[in-house]
Amino acid sequence: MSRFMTIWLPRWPVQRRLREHPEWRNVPVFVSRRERRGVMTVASWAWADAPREAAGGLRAGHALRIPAGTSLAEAMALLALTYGSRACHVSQVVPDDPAADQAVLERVARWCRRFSPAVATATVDDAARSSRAPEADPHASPDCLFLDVTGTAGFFGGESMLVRTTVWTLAARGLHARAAIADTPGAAWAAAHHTHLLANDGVTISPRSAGRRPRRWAVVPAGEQTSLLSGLPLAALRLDAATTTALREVGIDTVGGVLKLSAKSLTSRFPATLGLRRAQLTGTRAEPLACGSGTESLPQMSHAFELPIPTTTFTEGMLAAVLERLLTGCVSPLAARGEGVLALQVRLEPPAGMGMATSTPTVIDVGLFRPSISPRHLLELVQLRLGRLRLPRELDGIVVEVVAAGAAACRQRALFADATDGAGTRDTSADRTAAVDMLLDRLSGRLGRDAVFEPRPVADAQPEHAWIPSAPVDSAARPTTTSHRDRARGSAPAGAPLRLTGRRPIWMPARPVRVEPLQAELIAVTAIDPAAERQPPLRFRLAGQVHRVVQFHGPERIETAWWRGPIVRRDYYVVETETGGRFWLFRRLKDGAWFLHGVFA
Amino acid sequence: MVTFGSTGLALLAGGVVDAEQLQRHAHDREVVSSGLRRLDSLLPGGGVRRGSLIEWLAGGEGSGATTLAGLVACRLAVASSARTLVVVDRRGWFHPPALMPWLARQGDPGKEGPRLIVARPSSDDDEIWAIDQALRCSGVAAVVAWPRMTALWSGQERPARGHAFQQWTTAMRRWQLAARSSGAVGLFVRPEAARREPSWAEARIAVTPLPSPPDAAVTERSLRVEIVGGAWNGRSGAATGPVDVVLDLLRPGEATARRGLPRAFATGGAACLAS
Repeated sequence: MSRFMTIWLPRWPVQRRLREHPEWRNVPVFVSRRERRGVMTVASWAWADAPREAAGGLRAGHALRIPAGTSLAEAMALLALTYGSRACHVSQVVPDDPAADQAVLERVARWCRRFSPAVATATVDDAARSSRAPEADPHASPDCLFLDVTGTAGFFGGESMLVRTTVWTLAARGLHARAAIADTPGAAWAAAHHTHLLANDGVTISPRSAGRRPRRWAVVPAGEQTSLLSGLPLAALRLDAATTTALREVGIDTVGGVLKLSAKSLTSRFPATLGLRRAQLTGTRAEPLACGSGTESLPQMSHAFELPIPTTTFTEGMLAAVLERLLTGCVSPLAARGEGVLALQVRLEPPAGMGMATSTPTVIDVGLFRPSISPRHLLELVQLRLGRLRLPRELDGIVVEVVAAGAAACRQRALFADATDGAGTRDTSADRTAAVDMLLDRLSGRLGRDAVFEPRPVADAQPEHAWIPSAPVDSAARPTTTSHRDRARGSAPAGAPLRLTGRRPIWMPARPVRVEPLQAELIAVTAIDPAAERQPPLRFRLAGQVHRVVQFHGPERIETAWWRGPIVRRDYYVVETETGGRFWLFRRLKDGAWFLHGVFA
Repeated sequence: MVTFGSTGLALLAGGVVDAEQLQRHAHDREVVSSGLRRLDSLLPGGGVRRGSLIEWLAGGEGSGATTLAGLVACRLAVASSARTLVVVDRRGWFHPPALMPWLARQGDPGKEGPRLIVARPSSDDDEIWAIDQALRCSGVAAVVAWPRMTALWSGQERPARGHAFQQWTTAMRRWQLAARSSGAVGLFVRPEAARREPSWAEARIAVTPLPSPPDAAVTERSLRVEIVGGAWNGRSGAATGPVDVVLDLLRPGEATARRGLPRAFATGGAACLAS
């Protein structure tokens, strides 16, 4: 009996963009599509970190539902009604890009090969239908992965553990997924899209009795899909709108109603798609997965030792030699077709049979900012991670797997130096760009990807939120998107806040430091004349030293962030002490408390 | 990889091939103006040499030494062919909006602006390694860091004795060699007390804040700078002794040239306000 797992990535176009722009989690993101006559419609939308309370005290999660196909103007009006007009101003509207969605989904599919060797982004029938008439297929936009998990569940402790592991490992990588295992891809698809209606053992439950947090996984026991999925709505059958309407007209609202129809009535009264979907759900018609070349073409090399080798005797040089050979073997076929490694995984396999804890492989995931075809560079990145890991006591084998690849920029090297280069060095601009990319790879490899970033300005008056760290990317790869506010102003996306040049300190603590006169370690600010509301304190104590303010500039009033919670109301002052030192103080208008928020160091 | 211009070819033609000498020669002639005329007058060669380390010794809290180092770093990133500025920020104090406008203002409108990359190491070893890697990269124009700085408010360094002290001294030497190999400039802000410690920096510049004149704008900053050590100490530039610099933070550079201009004037019956 075959078993299939379907992983559904809800609102995949938005999820993909949120992975590329984590800073957009705080704003509504719309993926729009230009229809005929220039009407912009919503293909997908989400607000990851939406405010809990919408306008009017409504629970935001229940207040706003914007179905795909809604016009963008209507969607914005609904958004403004629910969250206020500012939500529209800060929203990000990006054009639909199904090709990029598909490409990233295939990368996720490659990554999911750890759960099954057969992973596809579509079944053969759906792939053929999409290629014939992409606009006619309501499910043409890919957001699902199909895995043939026949026989692989045992390695993960059973089907329940497998589906749970899948969901949570994807969640750890920033992807919200729902997954289900069933006998057929169609049944798994139906269960994955309706996990909130299914209990973990696959028993159908009513929507009202479902918990507040919808379940993310389900397992339909073998041979029970027709009985367990019969209570699901018609949407579980992957039907087009016309067929669904036709079914509803005759009073059929659930999968069970369709299953009760006789074969004669099915073929004579409804489109052929309905019979096909029903057969695919029940398993009377096979639905092979379209495991194309995309999931099979990424190389994987492994080296198995004849006997387990203690890592104490396995020197760094020996390990490097093995890794370099494996990396070269992985890179060569990619380089031959003009691609480079974008992400790879190295697994150091301990000997099996020594208990669960010891048989877990040591996994090293290496990500690059630009595809690389240099085994030496890749080896360096792996070694940076190796030096910070505790290796297993014994090694049974080493596996190097390329998880993602991209087009590598290859060019011919110049024989002679560029005489016009002002630096007097041979390397050209492209060389220097490549050197910086390699530096970023090395830094993020050792320090962590979150510890290396490019700051980007944000049009936010609150100083703590005036910039965001963003992952360094190739400048050519930076997408050009505009927010509603930018378009309204007719300006470019939020650039450097030039009007604040020279008015912001170069050192700023993560949080403003509250005045606590009793704690000697903190800064004690003493307002000599509390009645002088529009003046900074005349003296303050800093690290045990009293400073006398001789000059100040301000106040610069900042009132903002009402949409983030309590409103921020502050009067900022640049104060200069008698020794010439400059500090950035503010007074909280709510209670008059003083804070130190920066040092013009 | 380093190549040499016509002078280097002439030396090669003369039959004398000394790689280290050629490399030193290549970097010796690459002097980039700091954008501050008075500061340039202190430095031998009239500017900051590529492939060198400079220590900025901050005289007290809020002294402006980091601001000055950041200003010079932005200038180097804009003027160099390597257009990347790396800030190694161990403690997470660095506030990028202070630097980003300077990079944006100084960049050419038609070209892609310089890159600002921030690295936040979590340990001493990582900090030393990150600075070393950044200085070794040929695409990096300048690296700004606060090695061993321990507290934002006090501007003090962590005490390092014995092995730890040796570790930092060795690191400084490694950074010097790394900078020399790539041409990047290391700008390290340290407290005034570090003056007593040995250093591999080519210049150690003490920065002391001066009280601003009563009519000074908030975007002006008065500083006193003086070379107090380093290999360039004995080879000072045109100026000897401390010089006073008035920074214009609005338009990165020196404000002294504009100081004499009236802030407002009248013409044709209309009042104009100088910006």
